[in-house]
Amino acid sequence: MSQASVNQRSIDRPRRWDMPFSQEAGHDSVLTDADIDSLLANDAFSRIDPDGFKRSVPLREILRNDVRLVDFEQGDVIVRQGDWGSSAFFILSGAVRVELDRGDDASSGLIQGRQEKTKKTLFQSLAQLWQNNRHAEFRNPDAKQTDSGNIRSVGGVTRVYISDVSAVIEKHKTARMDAGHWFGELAALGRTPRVATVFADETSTLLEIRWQGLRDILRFDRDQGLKTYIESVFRERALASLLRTERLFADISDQEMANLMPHCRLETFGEYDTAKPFREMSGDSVDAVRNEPVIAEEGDYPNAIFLIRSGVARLSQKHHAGRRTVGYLNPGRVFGLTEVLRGFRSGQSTAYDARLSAIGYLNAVVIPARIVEDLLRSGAISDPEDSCRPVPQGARGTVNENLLNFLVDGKYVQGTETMVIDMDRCTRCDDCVRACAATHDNNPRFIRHGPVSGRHMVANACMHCLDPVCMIECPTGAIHRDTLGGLVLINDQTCIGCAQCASNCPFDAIRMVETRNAAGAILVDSKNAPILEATKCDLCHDQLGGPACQRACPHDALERVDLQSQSALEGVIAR
Amino acid sequence: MTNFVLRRIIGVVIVAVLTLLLLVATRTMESALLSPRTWLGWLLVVIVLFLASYRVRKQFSMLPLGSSAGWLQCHIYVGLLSLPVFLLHSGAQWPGGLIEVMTGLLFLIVFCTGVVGLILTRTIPPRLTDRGEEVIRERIPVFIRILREEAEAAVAGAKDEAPSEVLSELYLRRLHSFFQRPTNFFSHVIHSAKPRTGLLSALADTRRFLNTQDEQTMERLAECVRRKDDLDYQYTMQSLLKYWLFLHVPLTWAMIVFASCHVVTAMAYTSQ
Amino acid sequence: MTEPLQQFDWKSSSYERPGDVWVCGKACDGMPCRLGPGADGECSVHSQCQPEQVGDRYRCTRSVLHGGKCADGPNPDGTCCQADESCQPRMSLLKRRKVAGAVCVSISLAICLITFSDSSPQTLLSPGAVTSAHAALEANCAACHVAGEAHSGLLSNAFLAHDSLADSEKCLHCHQDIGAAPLSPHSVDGNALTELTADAAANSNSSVVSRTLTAFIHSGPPDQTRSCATCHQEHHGRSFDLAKLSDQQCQTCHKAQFDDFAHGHPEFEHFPHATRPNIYFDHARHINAYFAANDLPSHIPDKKSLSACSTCHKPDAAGGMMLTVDFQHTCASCHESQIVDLPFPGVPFFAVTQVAEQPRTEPGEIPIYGHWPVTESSLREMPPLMSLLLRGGASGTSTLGITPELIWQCKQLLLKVRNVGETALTERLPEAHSLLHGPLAELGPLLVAVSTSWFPGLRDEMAAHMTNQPLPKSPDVATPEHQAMPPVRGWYISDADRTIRYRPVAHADPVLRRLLDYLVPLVGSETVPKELQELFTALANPSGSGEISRSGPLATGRCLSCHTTSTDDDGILRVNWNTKVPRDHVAFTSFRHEPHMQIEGANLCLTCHQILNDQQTPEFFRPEYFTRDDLGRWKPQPETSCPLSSGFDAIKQSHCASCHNESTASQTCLECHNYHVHSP
Repeated sequence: MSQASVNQRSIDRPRRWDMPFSQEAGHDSVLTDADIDSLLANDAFSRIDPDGFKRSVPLREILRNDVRLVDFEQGDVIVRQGDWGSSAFFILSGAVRVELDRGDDASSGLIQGRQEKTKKTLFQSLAQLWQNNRHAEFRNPDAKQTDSGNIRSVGGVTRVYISDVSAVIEKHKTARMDAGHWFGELAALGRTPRVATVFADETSTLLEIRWQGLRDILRFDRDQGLKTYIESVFRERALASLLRTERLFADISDQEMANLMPHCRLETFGEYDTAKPFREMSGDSVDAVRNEPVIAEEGDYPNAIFLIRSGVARLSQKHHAGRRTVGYLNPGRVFGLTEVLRGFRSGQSTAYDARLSAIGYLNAVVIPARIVEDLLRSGAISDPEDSCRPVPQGARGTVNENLLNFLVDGKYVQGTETMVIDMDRCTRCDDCVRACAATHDNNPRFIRHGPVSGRHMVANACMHCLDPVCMIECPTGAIHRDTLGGLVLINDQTCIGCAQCASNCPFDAIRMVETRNAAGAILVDSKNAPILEATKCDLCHDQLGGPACQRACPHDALERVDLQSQSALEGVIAR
Repeated sequence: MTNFVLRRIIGVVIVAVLTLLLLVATRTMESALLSPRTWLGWLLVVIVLFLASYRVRKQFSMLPLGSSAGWLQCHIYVGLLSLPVFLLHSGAQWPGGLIEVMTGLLFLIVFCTGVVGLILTRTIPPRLTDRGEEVIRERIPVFIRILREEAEAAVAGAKDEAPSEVLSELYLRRLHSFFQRPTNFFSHVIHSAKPRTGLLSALADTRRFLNTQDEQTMERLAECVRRKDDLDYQYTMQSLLKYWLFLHVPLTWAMIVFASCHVVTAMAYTSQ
Repeated sequence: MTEPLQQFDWKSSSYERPGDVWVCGKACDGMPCRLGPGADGECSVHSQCQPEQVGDRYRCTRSVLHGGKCADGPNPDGTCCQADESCQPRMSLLKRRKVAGAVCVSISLAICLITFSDSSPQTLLSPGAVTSAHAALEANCAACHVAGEAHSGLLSNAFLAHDSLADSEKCLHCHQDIGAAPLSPHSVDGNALTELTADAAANSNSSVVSRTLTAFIHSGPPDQTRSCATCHQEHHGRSFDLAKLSDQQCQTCHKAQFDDFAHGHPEFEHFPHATRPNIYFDHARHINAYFAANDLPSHIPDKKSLSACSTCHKPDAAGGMMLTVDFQHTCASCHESQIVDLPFPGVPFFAVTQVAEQPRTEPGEIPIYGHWPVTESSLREMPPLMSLLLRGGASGTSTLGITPELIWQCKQLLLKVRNVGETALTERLPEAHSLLHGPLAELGPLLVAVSTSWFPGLRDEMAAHMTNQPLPKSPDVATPEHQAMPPVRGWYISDADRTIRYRPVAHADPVLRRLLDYLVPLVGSETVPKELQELFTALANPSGSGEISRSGPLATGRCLSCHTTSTDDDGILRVNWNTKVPRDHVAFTSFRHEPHMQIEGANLCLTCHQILNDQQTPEFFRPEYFTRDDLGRWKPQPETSCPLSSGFDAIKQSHCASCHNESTASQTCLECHNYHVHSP
């Protein structure tokens, strides 16, 4: 019995800290013990008790492997507004400037150098026809680790820099931060885009920590000092800019903003860090509705409005012995404003129309009602009606309630690219799967099965959730958010095949595969066990023309639906 | 979302209008002694190549060449238009030469299979959705095996109990072959429930000979039979959705071969 | 609720690969392996795991995907304990379809190659049966198609060097009689076609739309050649009508377009004849007056009623045109007697004319001119031909009577004729046409006869005159009593007035014919002697009759009363002795009388040929025949200015449309018109 085909070549199984953060993405440095000692002596880390940490994840190792020290020259852009970041920064020496302008005022000079997604050219796209590997799941064992980020290289690391710092400072509003301050932690931990552009004001040395490392520190730090600091910093710095990015407060004046801010609270409901609630809840939807954490109860006096920052909330109304889902709210929408508005205009007392409960977890800014009334009186809030509307509105056609319940209960409303297949039109021809394979080196990245409600199937294909719980447990950060589009992608080179993401994904979108070499033999490690890697739909981010599955369906059956969008949802359920 | 009914109406109207225009143009050209058959023949060549290019386009889903659904709509309506063009070109008469006969015959077969395929793709999917669990066709043998094992386990009974002879005999006689592979293909094509009801009533008939426990076993068996029958239905319908293409596509290539020879012959021998 | 058969989690369900060529052979049993066959179609299951040696024992390394470590572990020798579970991979459904496609294409290619090979009968390529007329050629494609000569040039023939006119040349190998330029429109080419087109274009009354459409479709000069197959398409079956074309197809090249014959067809111009008839025949008077009276003697065979047109007009052999029956069977019964003209004395050719300036003579004295047996009824003027003869062809002044010099000339002539025959006459008229020789030859013997009977002592007298001796006395010639006109036709001698006269023998009298053939072209010319004019007047003058001085409505023989004159192609005026015979070549329009005469009816012909009853001149004569010139000489009217008609109204399109219309479905273009004409 030949064993040659299986035992072709053994390589080492990848581990979490195979690639230290300090050597990732073009950086090439090592944190010595002396470095670590000096860090531990720093105020930021001095109060952290190392004994609280797990044996497999000691504080020192976190600092060694999840931290890097980066030097910036004056003018170098450290983070850009809108990027999806996965790391936080601590200023060891020097100073940085944070741009405060938002929206159209933001200087385009700071945005220069924003990298376009590296899409395939026309010829490369066409070449897939004959270049796709015949064997399944081919991986090139010799491939070097490539960048997962979009950074230009200047001597090992890529920087975007501003040529005329003083002009920028003169032209735009900026705030200067000196050594001893953190920034970027909210975007990293909250899995939201960077709210501001930050560039170095002088030669500086920054400590950059992966969010996994930060997460572990926050989790195991008994003192909770860092956590408190982060939250206070949030209020001081980020709240205003966050509020300004919301459509509701776009026209607010600085004075009114200053009045508003002390009264706002950032609150978190539900479990934030793990995927457990999702997995628990995906079992029985009836219980799930009952067990969801209630944020505001139907019939209560509306004493606050809730501005959803991240997560998804369900709106439900009492219906006989149970509850009936009437809609859901995703980030950017507001709960309670309709009721406050109604009360404000009529002068009579009102109540919340529906119960607000968190699906999994919810991160919201809570603003008291009387502050809102002040703002309404002064006309600072523009177009309040529009923000109020939940999804779906149900104005056009009949809403398929069963489908709505199905989508909300199953948490599919998280998805920005949910694959919905109309089974009454699908001829089971598999053109979609073949097209997916054609764009992924002959490997399909989804299976045409999944839960069905009526005539709609939500296939097991990555939905690129608003809040990707798959990312929570990844030890290496191989599964990450694309810096520009917000797509969730898996970096082949750093995936160690631990299957955490596949197990965590509540929608069975991630699958583990055995990788093969050019001869078609399965790659095995030194213990002759096959080397697995996680794979999932990447929305054809490097292909021309977007997701191939949708384009390949001959019968208008398959569609990638952004369930955050009113019109897209109505398009599906009112079809 | 697309309004399918409106799209269909627009498509049919366009095809009808074009057919009328073609008819008028053909009559005018005949009166003008301009040999419309040659023009119609070339139009048919263009149409056939366009229709066949849909198969080629399916290979190119990685390029943004327009959605496959849009292409299919064009394919359907241009395909419908091809019939009047063919009839006008051939003068609604059966030709005499071998190559012409083969081309015409294959064209008609391809057209008819296309229409049949269109009907199948629009009527079968709702039936599939309505019945049983949604399964992938390639996995049906696996599911059948699972059901077979479950049924055999049910009939075999628990470890320390004797299996019911009545059920064992019934299983061996009627259910054993039923659970081997997808069965009753043609019955499912005509949507006949006869095999299902036949087996279920055979099972129900044993009730009078069974004790309580065995009755439960019989219920389990009946459930297996139902699910297996649903799988058979899925298998049949999904197979139909694939089999019609076995006529439509290969015969298209054969038709193109004959049509090319016809083009060369006709252009060489035409005296006009 | 039972568990669903399909689990979605990643451990239970891995990717389906519908694009793969090979499928695990155990799939149909419901136990496919996870690995699947390799890309080359061989099963990739050789062993379930690769046992790892740990010390002196072996450890199963089966991955969690395959179920994790097996219960039994590897065999002591380090081999896997699991049985060989390899399968025979099978082709996926998609692959099978592609193979089916390849098979279909191969079979098709094979059939095509066989069909195109030289060893296959060419009839395999024929797209349909040919018409029965060409059936003998069916097996031989090269008889009609250049491409049929060899298979090898098929592709180049199709697209590069295609010459459709070459095929038309093959048609013309057999079809040789379809006109001078068969590939040209209407088989007429060049200038003729351009002229005809210009003519037609001038009379176009079709709508702007149809003219524009035609111009658009058929832009190009009208003399473009077109292949035969443009209109004649073969291979449509044995009983297909190759020559059938629709009205629209005929009209497509014509700017004048119309809906059908009954609606919009241009009016007929001068149909059926644009030229004047050769024989003047007043149909109106004859049918309405003469035939209707029915009391005229009838010598017509079968004694058919005179009012039937078929009495005089019979169809030709093909049943197409109507020919006029000859004179003997039609007109002779009434008109022969008029031609023979017995009551009239006839044209004199020789006369012992009264002497001009009769000198006084004593009784018994011989005049200076000798014996000249004038009678009381002798002519006072010399007949013109005699005058010409005596003067040697020169014209003379007109005097009443004959002069003594001319008398001696006459006597000399008589003697000469007696001696040498008619050459004496012909030599006196050196410029005479050969046409005159006949009549002169007939006159000769008569002159000999009169020279004996009226001039008995001629020889002696002549001898004495020549020697200037006194003239002897001639014996007297008896003067006959008043005689009635002898019922003689042809030449006769009239003793009473001492003339030799000629009466027409019958219709188509040869003497008169030759004389008229001679005279008609000369008439009116300045250089013609006036004697010839006078002779012509005697023969043709509508007011003359025999004698010049006698006025009357009839000329001798009345030839030109019925026979018209026309200028022929040389520009010379000639007498039309025969009726028009229809052209025997294929023309644009073809009309056949015979199908129209199947219908019973006495006056059927009058349905279309309607008599013009309102003609102005009731007389028999049409005075427009002749004109007098300034000198008073009669001249026949040349063709173009004489509005002679046959007496029938032109046939109108509405006549034909009364039968050829929609209800009888007999109004296609090809019913009456030909495409391939032999001459315009």
